[in-house]
Amino acid sequence: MPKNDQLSGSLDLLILKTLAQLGSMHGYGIVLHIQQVSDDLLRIEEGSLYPALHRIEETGWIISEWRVSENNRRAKYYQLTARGRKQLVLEQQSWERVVKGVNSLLKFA
Amino acid sequence: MSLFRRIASVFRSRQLDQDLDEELRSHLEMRAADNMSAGMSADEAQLDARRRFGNPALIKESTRTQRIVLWLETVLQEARFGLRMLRRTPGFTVVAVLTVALTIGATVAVFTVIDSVLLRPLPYENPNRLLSITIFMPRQNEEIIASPQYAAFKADGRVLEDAGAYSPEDYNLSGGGEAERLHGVLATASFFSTLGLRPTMGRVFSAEEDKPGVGKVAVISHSLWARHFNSDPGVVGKTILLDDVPHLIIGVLPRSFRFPDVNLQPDFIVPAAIPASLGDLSHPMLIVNVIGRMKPGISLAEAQSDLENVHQQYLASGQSRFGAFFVGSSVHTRLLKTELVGSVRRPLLIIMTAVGFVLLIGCLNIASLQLARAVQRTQEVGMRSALGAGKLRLLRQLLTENLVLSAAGAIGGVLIALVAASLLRAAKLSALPHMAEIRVDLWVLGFAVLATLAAGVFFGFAPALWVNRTDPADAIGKGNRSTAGSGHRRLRNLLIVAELAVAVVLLAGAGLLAHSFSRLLAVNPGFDFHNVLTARVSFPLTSLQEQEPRFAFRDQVTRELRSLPSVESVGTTTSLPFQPYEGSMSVLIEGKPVAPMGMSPFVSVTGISPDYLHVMRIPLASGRGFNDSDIHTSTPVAIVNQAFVGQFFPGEEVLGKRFRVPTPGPPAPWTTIVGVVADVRHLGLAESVSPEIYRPLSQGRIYTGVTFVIRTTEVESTSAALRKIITRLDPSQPVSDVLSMEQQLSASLAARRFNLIALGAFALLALILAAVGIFGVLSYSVAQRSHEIGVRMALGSDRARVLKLVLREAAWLSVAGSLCGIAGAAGLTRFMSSLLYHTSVFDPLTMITVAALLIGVGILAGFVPAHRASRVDPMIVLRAE
Repeated sequence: MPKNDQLSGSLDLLILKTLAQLGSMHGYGIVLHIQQVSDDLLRIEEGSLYPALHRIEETGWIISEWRVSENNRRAKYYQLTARGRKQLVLEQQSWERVVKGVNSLLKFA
Repeated sequence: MSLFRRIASVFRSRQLDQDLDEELRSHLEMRAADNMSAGMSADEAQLDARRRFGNPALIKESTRTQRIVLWLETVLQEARFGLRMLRRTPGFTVVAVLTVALTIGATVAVFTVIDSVLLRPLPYENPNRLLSITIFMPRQNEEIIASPQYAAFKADGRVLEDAGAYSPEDYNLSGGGEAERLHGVLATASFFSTLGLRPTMGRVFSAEEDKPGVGKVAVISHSLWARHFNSDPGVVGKTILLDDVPHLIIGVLPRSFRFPDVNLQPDFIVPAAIPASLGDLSHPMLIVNVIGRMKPGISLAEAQSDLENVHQQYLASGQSRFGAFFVGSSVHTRLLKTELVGSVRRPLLIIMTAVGFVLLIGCLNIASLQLARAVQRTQEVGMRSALGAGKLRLLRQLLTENLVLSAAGAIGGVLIALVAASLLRAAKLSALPHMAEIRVDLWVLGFAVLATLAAGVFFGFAPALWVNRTDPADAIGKGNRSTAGSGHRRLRNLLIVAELAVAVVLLAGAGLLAHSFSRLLAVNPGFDFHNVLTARVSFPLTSLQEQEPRFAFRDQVTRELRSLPSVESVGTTTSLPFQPYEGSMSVLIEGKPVAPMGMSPFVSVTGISPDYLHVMRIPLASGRGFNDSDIHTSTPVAIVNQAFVGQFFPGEEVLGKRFRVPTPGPPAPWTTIVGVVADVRHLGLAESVSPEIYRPLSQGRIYTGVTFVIRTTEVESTSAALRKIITRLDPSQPVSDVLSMEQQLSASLAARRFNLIALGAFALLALILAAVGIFGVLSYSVAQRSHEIGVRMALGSDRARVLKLVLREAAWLSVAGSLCGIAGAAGLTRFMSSLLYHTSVFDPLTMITVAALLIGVGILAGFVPAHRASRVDPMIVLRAE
């Protein structure tokens, strides 16, 4: 399994998208979700998630709250803010542009 | 929101750390639980969880990075680094901090003064609607307004919401305790409402009490209440004896109250009782000061034009008794604030300009020092940049360093300013109002912070930035022996020359004032002011009818003073030199053309005792002085001064000529001129002498007081004896202004002395800063050129020659600075011409002295670095390569 270092730049996008899909989730759940939805293609180093989560929270795109998980553990749940939703749209668009660009390049002759 | 959270997180950092710990633990537990349900053993599960997770400590660290704590830590770290760098170059640091401290100190001190004098709003309600109203009379070149005109303005309700008038009047306070001469003010009831002034205790007088012949009431000042009534809370309702007349105290003014005219801080206010009816001529006219309150929304121009109409209508109505005086007169309205500041604008302008120059010098100084230092540090900076320090990081470092420097300087500066403020407060300068209240407040501290930041960033950071554009490879390659390029050196020399030039301008200004002041002191006042004691005895207005006992009292005091062993002679006068004249009169000279009514020339009149001329040693040019046979029943006689002769009898015989007051009714008796005396500079040393008449007190009009002049060998003991004599003869009679004639002279020069001292102090500061600048820059130059100097010495140059080499640079810079400065002074000092007495704005002697002083100080400042250069050991320097 390759380590997806090249993905670190798009980690924000993955986190925001995950939270948009799940509504609210803790860090561990975010890791699992990304892994499952991408059919194990994308794996983030679990530790590197937390600096990103805290940075995004400082920026005001997500908020957090301590809750009890489905199997009775205390966990910190993250959730998108309105600004986070807007940011997600922006990041998604820019990501799509990158993909499009890379694809065009790859398809070129 | 986000910023708030960031800042909040600084204060919650421990809590956040715990929070993070818990979050990471929860993650690990969840992963381990999943592992176990997938079939791993508990240990395996935990290990796998940790492995997948990475290093928790590292994660915590990098999570924390996202918080502002780290930002602060970086700043602190950089400040520490900055301090370390500054400690490594203590010479530079001391010089730079001192420069900032002196500059900021001076600036803040001056700002403090300006703040309290100019910037603070007048302590009245809506001060921006308050006007000062006067009538300008072009023929007398005077602004004056009398009570009838005030009444006319007050009656016109179109632009003014309210108007009040006041007039200063001193009274004797007697009854209980030591008799005292008090400063009082006659004011209208509307004076209080116009200013929006409320007493702290009791009330102010009503319009009813402010009518002629009604109220004997008084509102007293906080200071009189504290001083004379021991802050008696029951003072309202008591009576006070003013000029022997009981007045009912009805109110006490607040401690914070400041009278609009700063030179007049009255002890009490009594009703002016100005007749409301314009035509009421049964009461004496009062010369007043008028303050009006404009209605909201009225502009100054509207008020001006409306009041002008009122004035012209009043004149046209023929109600004015003195219509002839007001020919061509017009109304002048000014905002009260402008009026009050007007009198102090000049001294303030001087110190503001001076401190501006000092600030400029300080900034140039810092800039040239930083430039020198930055040049020296190119190698270090180049090295750090080569080792991977980001451009931004280097800039931030430089900026922090400059701010650390400025901050240290600012602390010193504020301390200097605090000391300066307390000195100024103690000096009780009469040249500026509100000086007793100056204080360094938050406003001023804010100003200091701003000034510091500006100085630090613009003048410290900018040159450093400019130098550090250098290519790292280049910088390292050159090493320390780099002479930093001729461009940097030229810029640095330019800065120093500019700095010296500004210092020369200030020195030239101060030099001119000093020269002018010494010329003024050399002026012959026309009398001998040494060893003369003076004391004023004022008589109540109400007892003017009883002149005889007053004269008897005066003669008794004179006799007793004469009997004192230290007293040589005693005389009396109505007005002393350097004081305003007590009276003036228009004269009609026998045999000369009669001027139309109201157009006769005015001359000043002084009443004197026969001994006065002798005591003051005013020389008699011709004729005789007065003697005891000149009494009110004998022929009226007068002595005139030479200016009088020059104006009215040029080239003619004066003795025996007669003059009188032109009166419309039956002619007044003629007065015969019996003597001519030398001119006395009555209005001040710098003022020209106007025609003056001396008359015997015994023949004179009615005087409200006399001033004793006592020629004595012991001024101190005589003044004590004088007080004792007067108290013994009449305990209710106060004595005021017990001063030597020298003190009177000195007081008359107070404004000029203030200008001289202020400008002198700043010029001295400028000179010190300039010396510091030369010293600093040459020191660096020497440090930088130590290689070159070493080579020179190795090649046979001796120490004396090296010494000369550096001193020559100092001399060269000083000479260039002096020349530029003198050129600048030639352009700028003409703005001072009105401050100078018989001194040309380009006085060559002053300019040469100033240039010589600066060059001398410059070379002196260069001596230490020159000496250091001459101690350079060629072996050490060359080996260091």
